[in-house]
Amino acid sequence: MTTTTTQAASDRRVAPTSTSSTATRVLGISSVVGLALLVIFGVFVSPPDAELGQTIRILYMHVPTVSVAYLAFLITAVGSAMYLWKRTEFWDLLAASAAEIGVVFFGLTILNGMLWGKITWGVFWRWEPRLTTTAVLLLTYLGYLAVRAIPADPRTRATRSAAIGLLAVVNIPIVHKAVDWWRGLHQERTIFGTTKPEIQGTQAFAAYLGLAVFLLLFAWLLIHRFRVAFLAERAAESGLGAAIAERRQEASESSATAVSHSEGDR
Amino acid sequence: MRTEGVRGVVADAALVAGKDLRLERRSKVGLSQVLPFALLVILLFAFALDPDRRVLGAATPGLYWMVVLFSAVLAVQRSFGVEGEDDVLDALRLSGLSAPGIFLGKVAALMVQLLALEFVLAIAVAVFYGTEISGILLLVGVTTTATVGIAAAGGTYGGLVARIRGRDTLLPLLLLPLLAPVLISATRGTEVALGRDAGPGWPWVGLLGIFGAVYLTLGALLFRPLLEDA
Amino acid sequence: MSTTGYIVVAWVGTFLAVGVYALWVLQRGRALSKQVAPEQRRWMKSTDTNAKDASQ
Repeated sequence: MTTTTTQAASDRRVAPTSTSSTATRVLGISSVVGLALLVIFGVFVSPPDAELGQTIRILYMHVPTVSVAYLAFLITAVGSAMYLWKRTEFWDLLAASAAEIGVVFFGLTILNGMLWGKITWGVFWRWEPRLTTTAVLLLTYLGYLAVRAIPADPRTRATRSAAIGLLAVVNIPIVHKAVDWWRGLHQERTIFGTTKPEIQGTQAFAAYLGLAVFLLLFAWLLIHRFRVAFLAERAAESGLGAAIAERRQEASESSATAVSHSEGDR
Repeated sequence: MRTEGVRGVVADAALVAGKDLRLERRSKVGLSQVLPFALLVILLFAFALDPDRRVLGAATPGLYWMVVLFSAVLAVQRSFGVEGEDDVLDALRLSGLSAPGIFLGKVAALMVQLLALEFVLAIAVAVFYGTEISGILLLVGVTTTATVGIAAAGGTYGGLVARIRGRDTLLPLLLLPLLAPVLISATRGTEVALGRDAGPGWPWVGLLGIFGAVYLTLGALLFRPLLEDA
Repeated sequence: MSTTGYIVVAWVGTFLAVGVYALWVLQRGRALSKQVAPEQRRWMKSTDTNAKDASQ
């Protein structure tokens, strides 16, 4: 039993006009501040590395993006498993949101890796273990997003995606091992060099700062993306009538092509 | 209770595998379409890479496994295409057969077809590319473990896309990145077996075995939700 | 392009890509919020039943 004032207050609370909230504002502002600090320390203050030279500055971007990507796919895996167990929308949307962000950051990881390679090796691509593995995993998760984009009822889409989320994540260590053995035979210089760089002082600070800032950024992105996914489901529910009409049309088109396909198969 | 469960699964698998293989024996799609396709690609690679240059010979292990992978995609499509058309998938689901049993049956049938294909392709490659076969034991190890993995992953994804209309283009996109480590491991292992590479070959078999075991298990676990909801 | 050039591209490119993606997400959020009835706009524990089972 609520009084009219509490009712109005809770209405205001549940009726925001965007996906923002106090939590995201805090995360957002700290991310921006952190990024500014990162630019100062990563680009200007910290000295070039003894072994890697100026290219260490690219690693200040590369390492955080790959860390966020792996964390994102871990969340997708957990979300996928939990969805198959609990069958609640929350886990499905969490998995999907994390996967999309993961793909973005995997893409950025490859971009930064290629730029690092251009400086260090003179070419944009080498089949060194880390880049190769990232490329394979990127393609794997693009497949996840492709399946996600197929129109289907929520439970069907969620089940398919969850299966892929799990099948993809268990492949990660196997791909790593296979690629490391394979490219390791050729003594490829990995992105971290043949020895781990001795980073000190401001370099270490910039590296850890980068990691922390990108994690904040990831949290911010995930919350917003999750809310967008949630809203999309609610909007789709109310648009169900239109969707049914659309599918009826698709069905009559596909049965026409199915007839011609089956005639071709014989 | 547990042994009964396992025995039930094995019985179901045998039933489904038998059905798929009998279907293949009658329709001969594998024989009349998939195998010719594989041999055709072997031919095309020779055109593309010129047998007089050493490239073709050097690339043989990789080409062989690429052809196997492409053929496997076709074989998986066929295996589940049969199901989708008359919604036999739903009939299977309602038949009382256990989902892991159906999965393992399909995987077993796929394995038989793939192993037969790989055997014929090996002969073709020996004849047309002049490959000298050696290291038979390692080759058998590589081929068997790789085929388990390919069939298991194929069986899982085949079930996943069975009811999707665009599955012909989707299946390769999903399956091939997943099979990347199989391609790498099988090719490297084959190179060692054929004496082209010095390194140890059996670790690759080990990795292939792990891949196969992981995807057999995961596929069996995922097949019920996929059968019901995908 | 010089070393500095590539480093600039790395940082600017990363920030730009993340920024564009963030803006896209935010914009979608605003657009969808308008389409959805006010009481349904936030995920709350009580609304997360998977009612899709009924809508087969």
